[in-house]
Amino acid sequence: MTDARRFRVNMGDVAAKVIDGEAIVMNISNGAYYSITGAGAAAWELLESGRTVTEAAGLLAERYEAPLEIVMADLETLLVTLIEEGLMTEAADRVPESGPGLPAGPRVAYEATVFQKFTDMADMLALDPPMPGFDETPWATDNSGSRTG
Amino acid sequence: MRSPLLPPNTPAAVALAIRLSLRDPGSKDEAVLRLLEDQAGRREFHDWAMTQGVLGLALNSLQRMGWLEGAGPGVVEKILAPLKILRQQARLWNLERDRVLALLRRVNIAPVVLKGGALREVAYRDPVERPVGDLDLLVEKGEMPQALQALEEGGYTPPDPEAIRSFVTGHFHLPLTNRGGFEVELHWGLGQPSAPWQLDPAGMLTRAVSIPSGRGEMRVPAVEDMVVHLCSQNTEDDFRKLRRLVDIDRVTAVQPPDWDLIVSLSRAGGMEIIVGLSLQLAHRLLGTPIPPGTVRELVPSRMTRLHLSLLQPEAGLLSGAGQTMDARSKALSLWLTVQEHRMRHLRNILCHEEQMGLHPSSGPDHKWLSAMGMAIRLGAFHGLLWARGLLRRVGDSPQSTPRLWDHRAGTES
Repeated sequence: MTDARRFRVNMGDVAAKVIDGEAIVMNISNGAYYSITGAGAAAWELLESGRTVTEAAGLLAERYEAPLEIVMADLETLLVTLIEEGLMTEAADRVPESGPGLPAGPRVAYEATVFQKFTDMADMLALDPPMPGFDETPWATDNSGSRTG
Repeated sequence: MRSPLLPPNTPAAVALAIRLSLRDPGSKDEAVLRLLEDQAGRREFHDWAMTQGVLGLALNSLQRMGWLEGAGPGVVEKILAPLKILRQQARLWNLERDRVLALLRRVNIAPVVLKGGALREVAYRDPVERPVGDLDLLVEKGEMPQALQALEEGGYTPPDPEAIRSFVTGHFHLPLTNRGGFEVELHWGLGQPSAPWQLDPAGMLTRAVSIPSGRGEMRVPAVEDMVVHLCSQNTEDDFRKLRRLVDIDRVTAVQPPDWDLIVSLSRAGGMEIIVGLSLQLAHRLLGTPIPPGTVRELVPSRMTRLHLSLLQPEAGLLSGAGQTMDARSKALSLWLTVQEHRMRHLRNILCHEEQMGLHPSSGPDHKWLSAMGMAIRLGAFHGLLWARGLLRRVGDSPQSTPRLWDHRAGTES
């Protein structure tokens, strides 16, 4: 079954960029920012460029060593979260942007999407953001997203 | 390559690490490494570098120079731990900067991005090396209403109308904030209207250049305007921020400026002493190459040089001390003012508290008393300065401390 939905970034409130395999997304309307890593970062780029869900899943399955069903299921989960957080909205009228999909090359090991939400953006933006003690750096070792709101 | 000017404390260690990374990346200073291996020393290093706005640069420098190789297990991670947060912070600021510029572009306004927002693109290898506390944008005064409206539509809240009126008459920028915690300062000027030195915003707008940024372009000041503006920023924190000097060093390293233009812009703005002192300090602390001719052009009178030396701006930078004394700050601003404006500035200093409305119920008697009080404080502070200077002169050999204002010290870039 194909999923022909296309999406658009909620441009009024959201700014995003993929850097070093991590999609950094911020939502000005609620002061939160998000980190999407793993296959989710690539998925963000594909959806942002106007690919349908099925097209995005197909390209991800070509890129990663993972069955299409798993990729599709993860993508659907990510999409639900993106919509709930107001980061993307469905856009039936969307015309896909031209341009390369994902980097060419041999397939790479599949990394499941990790979606983290941070609600402390104002603290983070201060010239002296809170730095945990140097012997207690949970954010340096903890990948569970314990700082998420 | 330990500079004899740098005392062996944490601020000096940070300055030294940066200086070496910029000028002599192959060298290594064991004292700095020992400081970082110690938990208390590391904390002090991080704290001071953070306060000075050079933590990202210092940590990147240590890593790049390979100074951390050989440190004990787990120590490197602890030394570099703040980079993770600083990197995230830098990414968020860049995202927002590009979003704000796009908002303004939609209404055909192309502001000139000042300070950190521009410097991290123009002068640093990595945005994490130059923190941003707010986004400073210069627009033409006539563009202000449209720019304000565009930013409001983009989620920013301006001050209330009454505050806007007082900002417009007595200030040179408007601060706007949004729910995310970002702050934009929308400038139509480059300094307090009452300050004894002034930069020309129209000239800066005319000379601005475009560079690629995000999915578009952004305008930044010409390198000469950038240098003079960065020097003027030193007056805002009484020459106590190492970051300002590092900015000057990086800008001039990336794009060699027209030094004659810097001199002429400084003169036009009454900023010769400020620019001269900033360049001297950058040269002495960071090894910034400044042509000797430039320093000669900017050299102030013997009396001014003497007082600036007594005020010890270099020691102030490296002492690690917190807030500056009010009297020191006022004395410094007095001696940074060019001679023809100094008496007027002294009058402003003496009436400052009254002007700031700190004594709203004061009558003419109180005004007079307040000015007298400030005059006494300033006089006493100068007495203390002269006494300390005399003691130093008696205690030290003249060769032991290099002169602050040495126009032979510069090296041709």
